[in-house]
Amino acid sequence: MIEITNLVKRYKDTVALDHLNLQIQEGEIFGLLGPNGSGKTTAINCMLALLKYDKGSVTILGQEMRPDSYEIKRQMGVVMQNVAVFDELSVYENIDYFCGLYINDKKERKRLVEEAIAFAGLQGYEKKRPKKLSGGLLRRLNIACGIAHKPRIIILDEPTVAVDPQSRNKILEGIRELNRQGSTIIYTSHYMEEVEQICTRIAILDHGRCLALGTKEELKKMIKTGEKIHVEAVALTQEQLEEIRKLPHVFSVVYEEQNLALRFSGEKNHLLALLHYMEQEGITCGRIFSELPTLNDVFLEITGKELRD
Amino acid sequence: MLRILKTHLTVSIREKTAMFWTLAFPLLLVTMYHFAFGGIYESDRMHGLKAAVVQDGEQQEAFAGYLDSFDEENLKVLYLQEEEAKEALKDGSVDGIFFCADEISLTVEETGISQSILQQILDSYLKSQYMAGGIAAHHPENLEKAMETMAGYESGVRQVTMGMKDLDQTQSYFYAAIAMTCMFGSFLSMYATVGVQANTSPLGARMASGCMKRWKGILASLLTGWILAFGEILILLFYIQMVLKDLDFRGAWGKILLIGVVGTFAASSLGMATGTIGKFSENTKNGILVCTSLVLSFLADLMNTGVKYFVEQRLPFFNRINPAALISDALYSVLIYEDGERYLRCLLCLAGVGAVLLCAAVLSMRRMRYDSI
Repeated sequence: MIEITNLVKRYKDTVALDHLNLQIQEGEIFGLLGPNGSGKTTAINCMLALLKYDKGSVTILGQEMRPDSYEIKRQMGVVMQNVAVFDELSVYENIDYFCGLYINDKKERKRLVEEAIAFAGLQGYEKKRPKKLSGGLLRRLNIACGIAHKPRIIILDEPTVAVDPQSRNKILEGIRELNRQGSTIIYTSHYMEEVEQICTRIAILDHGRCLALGTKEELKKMIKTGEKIHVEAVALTQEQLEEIRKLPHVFSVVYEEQNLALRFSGEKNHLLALLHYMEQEGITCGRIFSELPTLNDVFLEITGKELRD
Repeated sequence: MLRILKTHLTVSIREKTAMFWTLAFPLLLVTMYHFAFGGIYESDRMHGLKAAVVQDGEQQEAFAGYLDSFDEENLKVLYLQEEEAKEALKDGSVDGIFFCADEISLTVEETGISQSILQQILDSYLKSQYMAGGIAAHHPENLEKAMETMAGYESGVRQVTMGMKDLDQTQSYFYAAIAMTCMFGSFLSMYATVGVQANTSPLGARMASGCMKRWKGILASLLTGWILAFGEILILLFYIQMVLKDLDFRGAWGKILLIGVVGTFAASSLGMATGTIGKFSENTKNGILVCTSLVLSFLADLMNTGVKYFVEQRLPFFNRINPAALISDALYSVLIYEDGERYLRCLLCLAGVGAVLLCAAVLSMRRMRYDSI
């Protein structure tokens, strides 16, 4: 449905997009995950033909995307990273205006606006101006303005920035609902938890390049880490640490301030082996917990740094 | 398109700061002018005089005849008894009393222009009387001719104002206020323009990524500022003429409105052109426009006098492209000088300047992809 081929975008000496290749299928929630400055918003703006790029192409619905591709744009809805609404119009008027750019029929538009208000949970706020809304409600209004006309493709650029948890959950649930109703979603974020929660396929970006692409399970299988175990408040000698390093499937041991962090390759369920060893050696400890790898681990193994660095 | 325009107009009208500076402030300014200058010439205006004449018998009948020769609009003479006359002077019904006895005297209650004029009237008569007496005594044969000459006296100076209209210095302040209000309309277009450009506002990015055609956004920016600015000019003109009654357009409404149309078009184009300059923030562009408007207004004598003449002497071309100068020139052409050619020239120059600025703005706004957002 959307194809980005060999996209290159430079800002003077900085390469914002470095031969980016992406293919987005119809009906999926496609996540663009990456730290700040990785090129997510630049990729979105190039996709929307807002930015000039130096090389490559963007094809949407089989046609090259250009600034005057109004027929393609008619089928798209965009929720920008920055809130883009009129401060002088009420909630209802804002949604009505933006919906009206796509839908001419007054009755149809009224129905869609009311649905968008209900969808975004803005009932009771129809007559309020944006300045009177909280940050979370403002973001919801921003989303409602972008999706009211029920577009086929929805692009959301970090829609949950500075949003309270309640509003965030509502937004994420709403995005799932939009996808259930048939829209293809492109979702960008630097919050891996959100991307893991809702996206069917994820591209991890850094320095304008796509480092990894696939479902979350596929991405996690790409890395060595199969399981992470943390042991808190444990006293270990150097010999014991060496022994732990020799345990099966252990490939990373970090011992700092009496906290032990182990990474195991392969499948999970390495906890028993570790506990067995600790019992044998008489090692006492505090809390122990095991977790499966996250997208942050994927990013860490691929780039050597955290997503939030 | 109509719905887009309606929304943009609604947004602009609800923008309180913009409405204050472009509408409320000019209304306050002219109101202040009204109270500052109102009646400033009233005290200098000549009213019809009233004088009482108290005659002692048949004495000084010639003087009575002299008084009767004045136009009643300028001098109304009342022949009263002494007591009646004194009563009338006390209650202000007359400005003075001429007592016609052996000698003629003037009695007044207070000093002022009216009283001074009555004294002049008396002095003039007495002087003529003395001259006539002297001629009769020494050259009686020339008395008739002398009397004819004295009767035919009239001033050799005639005051003519340019264009046959009154030149009231206080009116120039109102013309300046009208011209500045036209210029203020540029801010409305500037705000509207910034709002539709992707590289200057998130709203612009949303518009540009949507299916609204570019020309609609450009047209909406122009029409929003132009219509609102012209509406504000209408309100201002109506207020000055009908409420404050400080200006009388004397049937030149059509020409004044045309100045408003073309002037606000030029100002709107200026605002649009400023709105497309670079990637500056709205506040920066606001500052640029404020400075530009102030400089243009200063050079057009809207804040001080003499500057426009200085520019005309050294750089006359600038006065032909300065919208503020052109607007005030056009107003003077209609209301003072009645110079049709000059009026037309001003309008054509204004339209030309507006068209050039609009083209520059459109060429800049037509760009649909940006280097950065």
